[in-house]
Amino acid sequence: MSPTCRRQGGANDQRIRIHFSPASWHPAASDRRAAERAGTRAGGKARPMTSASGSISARPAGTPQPVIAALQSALAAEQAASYGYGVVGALLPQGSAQQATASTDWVAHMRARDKLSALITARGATPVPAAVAYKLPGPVRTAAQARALATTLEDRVAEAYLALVALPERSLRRLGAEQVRAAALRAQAWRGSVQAFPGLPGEPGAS
Amino acid sequence: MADEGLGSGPATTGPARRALLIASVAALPALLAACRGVQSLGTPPPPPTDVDTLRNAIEHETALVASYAAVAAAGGSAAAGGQAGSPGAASGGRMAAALAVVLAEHRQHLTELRSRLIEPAGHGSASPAPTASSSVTLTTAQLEQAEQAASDRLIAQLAGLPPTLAQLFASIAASEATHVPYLQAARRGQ
Repeated sequence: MSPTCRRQGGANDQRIRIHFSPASWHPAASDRRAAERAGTRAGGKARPMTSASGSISARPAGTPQPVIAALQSALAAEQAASYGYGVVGALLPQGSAQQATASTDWVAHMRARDKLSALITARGATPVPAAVAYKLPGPVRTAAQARALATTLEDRVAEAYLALVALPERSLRRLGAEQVRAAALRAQAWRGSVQAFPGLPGEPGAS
Repeated sequence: MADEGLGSGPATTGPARRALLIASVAALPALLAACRGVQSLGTPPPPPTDVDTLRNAIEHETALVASYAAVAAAGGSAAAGGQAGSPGAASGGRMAAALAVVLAEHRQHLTELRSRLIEPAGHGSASPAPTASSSVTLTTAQLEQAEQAASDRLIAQLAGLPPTLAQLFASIAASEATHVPYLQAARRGQ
């Protein structure tokens, strides 16, 4: 018997399963209701779409549902990050290098958000719109809390993109990996330390 | 007629039901085996590219561990001191600490990668234990280059891997990319 790659079983498999839930924070209730009216739930897990939702019927037959779900999940994380960086930037000292970094990162997330929307549309599905406001994971009133929020945002984004890496489509797998890396680099800059397994559930935190 | 119909029911369905039961019992081991996983059926070998790619990643990770271990053995601050314009002893200590952190992460990567490779009994280890002795001590700038190359290589190898292994590769690639600015910051004494 030749050697093989472990696919199932083993103590660590729980840590590397596909993980679609990007955010511990979520849209405000009114936005969530609006998103639900549109047929999906924004800001967190993408609700499985059915033909009744109107989304799947317009999708080309060749695009599997998990692909759309993973793209929507990454989009939700990018939308949350785009919102969150507005808060981050406002709390950092005006004109500081950190504020400039926050601005650069904010632009990166908005570009990534637009790219994901285009990918979803190209597959015949409807991108779930961003919420108007999001409930932050904790109080954000100081520069230190703003930096912590930026770190959390990047961790969530990395986690969401790792779901794309699990897909078989080569281009999405590569996009996911490159975005996990980009998010990890931004997180490293905010955190000032490194992580052994960015994006994987159960990552114990900064080293 | 009704009696015939009722009477003939068991006579005709009985053997069919028995046959079904026998078939079910016969299929039981296979079903149980399927429940236990593909391994228990003596699976055909997976596509060799999976294994080769994983072994390749293990070898490269082993080499990185060895490189860091060699730098640590030579004294982390010596590596920092080898850089043009590098600061003095204070940042040397910071660099030594950063190198230790990165080495620990590479060891975690190596452990995780090795856990994904199932070697048949009696087969040797896929890669030797990392040793510092054979490595030329690298400068931190060279370590940074090696980190970036390792990250790029892992991302280039994603196609065709099982999903969970691809995720592990991507996560390690991200981690190794972050080592570059982390080491650079330590080098600058930040």
